[in-house]
Amino acid sequence: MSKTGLGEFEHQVLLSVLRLGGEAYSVPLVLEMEERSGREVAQAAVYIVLRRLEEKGLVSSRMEEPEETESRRARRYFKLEPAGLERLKESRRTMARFWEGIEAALEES
Amino acid sequence: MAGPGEVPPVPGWVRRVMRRTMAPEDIRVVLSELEELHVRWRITLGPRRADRRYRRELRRYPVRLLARSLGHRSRHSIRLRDRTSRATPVSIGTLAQSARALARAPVLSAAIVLTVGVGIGGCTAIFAVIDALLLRPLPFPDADRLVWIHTDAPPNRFPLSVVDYQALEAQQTSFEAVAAFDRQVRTFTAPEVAERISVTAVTPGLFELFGVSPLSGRTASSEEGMPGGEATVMVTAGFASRFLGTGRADGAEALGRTIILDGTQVTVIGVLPQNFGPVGGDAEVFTTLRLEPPTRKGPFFLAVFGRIAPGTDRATAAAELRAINRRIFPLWAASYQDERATWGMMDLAEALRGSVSRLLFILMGAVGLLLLVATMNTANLLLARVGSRRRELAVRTALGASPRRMVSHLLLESALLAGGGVLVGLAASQGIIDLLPVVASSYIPRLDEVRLSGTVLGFAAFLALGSGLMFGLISALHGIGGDVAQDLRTGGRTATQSLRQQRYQRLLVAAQLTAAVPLLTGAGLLASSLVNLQRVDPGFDAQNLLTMRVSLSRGTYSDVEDRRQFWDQMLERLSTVPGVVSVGLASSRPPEELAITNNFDLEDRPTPPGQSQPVVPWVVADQGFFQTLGIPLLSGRMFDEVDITDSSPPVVLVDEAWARRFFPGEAAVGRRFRSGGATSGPWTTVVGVVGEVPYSGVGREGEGTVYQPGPSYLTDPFLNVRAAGDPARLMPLIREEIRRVDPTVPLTRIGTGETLISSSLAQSRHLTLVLLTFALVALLLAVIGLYGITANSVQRRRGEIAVRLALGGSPGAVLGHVVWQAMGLAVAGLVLGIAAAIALSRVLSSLLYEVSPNDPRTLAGVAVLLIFVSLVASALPGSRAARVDPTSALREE
Repeated sequence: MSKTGLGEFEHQVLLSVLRLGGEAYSVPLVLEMEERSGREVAQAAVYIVLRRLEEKGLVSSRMEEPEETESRRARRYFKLEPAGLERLKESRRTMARFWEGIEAALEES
Repeated sequence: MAGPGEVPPVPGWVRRVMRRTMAPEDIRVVLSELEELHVRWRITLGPRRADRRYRRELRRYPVRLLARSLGHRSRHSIRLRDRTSRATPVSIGTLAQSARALARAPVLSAAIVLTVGVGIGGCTAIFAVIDALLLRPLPFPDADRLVWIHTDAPPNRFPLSVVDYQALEAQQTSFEAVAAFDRQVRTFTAPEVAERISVTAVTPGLFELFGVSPLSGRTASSEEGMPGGEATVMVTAGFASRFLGTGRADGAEALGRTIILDGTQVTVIGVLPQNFGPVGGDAEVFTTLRLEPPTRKGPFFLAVFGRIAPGTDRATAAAELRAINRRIFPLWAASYQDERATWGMMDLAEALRGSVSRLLFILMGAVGLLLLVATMNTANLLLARVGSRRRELAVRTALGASPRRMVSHLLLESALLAGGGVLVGLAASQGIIDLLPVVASSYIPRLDEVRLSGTVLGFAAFLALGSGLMFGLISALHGIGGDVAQDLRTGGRTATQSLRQQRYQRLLVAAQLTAAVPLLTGAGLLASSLVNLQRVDPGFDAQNLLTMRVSLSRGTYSDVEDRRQFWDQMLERLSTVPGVVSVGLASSRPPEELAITNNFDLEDRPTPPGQSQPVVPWVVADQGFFQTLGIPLLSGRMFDEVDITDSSPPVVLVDEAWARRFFPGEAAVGRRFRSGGATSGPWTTVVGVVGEVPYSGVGREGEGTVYQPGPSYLTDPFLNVRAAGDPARLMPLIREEIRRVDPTVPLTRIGTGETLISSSLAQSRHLTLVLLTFALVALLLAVIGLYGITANSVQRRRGEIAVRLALGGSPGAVLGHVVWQAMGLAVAGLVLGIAAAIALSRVLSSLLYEVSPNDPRTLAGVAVLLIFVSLVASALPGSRAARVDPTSALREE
């Protein structure tokens, strides 16, 4: 396990992969994240972050060659690995501990 | 569905970045997925916005890669392509890459290699001289135990006498051995040659003392050193092959042959190596010194050397020298009264070094400053280059290059430049070393020993490394700093970057100007000193004057009467040669060839007991000498016919300096003295005072010269001929006339009055020229630097200048503003430089003639020159700024 926690963007990317069924490539991810964040999301950022998360062992990837797809395009699918899932859970737990007791107060103000 | 043809093209630089940052598979995926997004965007955003978004996404790739890698430091850098980060910092590939980068800027690279090369070359050549003369041990075994033993009568150090040497040899216990030599000039005659050659007369143990053994044959035995011993001689292998026709390297065929020296046959018993080290001088023939039993303490002419016994310390040896001197002092008190004089010793290496170290360190300092300026100039050029290459460097960083790798890449370029510089430098220094014996042998000794030794090469490498690191690090550290992501977008043309670069460059230019000022000051001081020297009245008429040495062999002309006859005949014949106005003989030749000095005791002002008598230049001259050189009689009378005869009461002429020194404000004529330490015998009378002529260099304070009538004493005087026209044309006629009197008499050291004066100023002239060249090159580099940054700043601020002009600013004000900024730098450099010059120029003081090292006129001149060239250098870009057309400049923005 890496010593550093997930960055906000990394967190968002991993969650989006999860939301798209645990395996996704950049196109639906960008669209999904733009919809959720309401901002433009750079495909370059998504792709690069995924490749880096792959280096850390949080996701794995497989290539889909043009011949194999109905879209006739090359795609790289990233799949959430158990380690990635574990990291998401851990992040959530940590955040929850931080939020404990102040959620309501923040909501009211 | 949109096909691949409908997406906008991928920009070349993005494609290049991608190709170098990412694996081909990733590029394919990324472009393909972006195309897919483009299809979605066409639907949601419309075609134009979709295209724009697509392009934006493409551009983000390099920028994202970079921003991420910097933001998370290299630990998290994106390694889409594995090999980039693993490569070693320096490999053939990176070397080739750096070389290519340099080749893209050939003029810049050549300029750097040349300027740095010349700086390194000069430093290396001078260091080679320092190495040979000051650092390298003498080429003798255990040279550190060799000492020169001398008479020590502060402030003078002079050789020992025969009395001294014999006492030393007999009584000393601190030295393994002592030996002595006397350098002489003798006439060597062979069937076709009559030549004056340097001959060194040595005591038998000298070669053993220095650890030099003959190539063949033997050295002289101690019997040969006794009076009446067999006349034998040793020659160098070079002499043997030139004059005795030997073919073998050891010259063994020469053994047993005879040569004629001063008319006497001597047998060759040994052949010595070509060059017998630094004490050998240019002598090629070595006779054995025979010391006759002395009748008085002087004269002092023996160069004496000792090898301190192992285990004996210097203090003991020196104390013993003083003790022996004290012991023999009473025995010779009748002929030598200076009881303060003692014996001292000096390491041979130091004795040979002479006064040249100061000159060498001045040269080293000067060329070092030049190298410094060249280095800073290079740093400046590279900074400007790095500035314009920020996008390229950013791309390299995007490849995953770590800051360390970037620095090493930039340093590699600098290393290549420095390497080129060192090659040019070594070639230049070899050239200088080859040239030195030709131009500088008259004032720097032992130049034939100078070579590019290992130490010298190491020094050159050190200089290259130092200067390469200096300009390399300055540019490299500038190259890697800052926001690289921003650089990728803007190409490095952001305000903050330029500002930082500009600040460095301004500092470098100011530093260059600072370093140039001491050089200019030194050159200026030496130049005014040289002008002063050239203005000095030498005291004689150098025009249409021809002089040469005429040497009689001591064997043939051992009798005074024979010599007198020869001189009489020769002078008579010469005076009839058409074009000859007058002729005269003298034992010494102005301005700097003094044969002997002598001491004397004045009748009116006797030297108190226990003190040393005054010593002055002593010249034997005939009547014609004064007329021929145009030396005026100031009071009293000249020599007459009676004075020349040996039986007449002794008289002398003295020069003005003598009269001033010993009888200030009084008449010198009629005064009497006894010379040479004599305490009895007839008094010598001063009969006249003549004008002053220098014998130890133009511009040197005269010590007061005594002229003794001659020339019957003389065996090798200088002949002076006053010609009606061009003196050089007379030479064949004079040679012919002298040949008629005696064809074996050699004529040497032929020169006109003008060449004599000019060669006596050679050191001063050469040093001035060298410093002036260094100074002007340094100034040129500094001013080009100033011009460069001013022009750059004008270019960069075109917009701002246009706004000023558009708002009604006058072109004059713009020009003034630009020039004002540059002058700030120039003045800062000047002020610091003047402070440095004042601190440094003191080392020149011993070389200056009638110029103070802090001569305000020179400093003012340097200031005016620097300000003037700086004005020109900044006014050129300034006037371009003033002519900026506001509308077009603003449109470009």
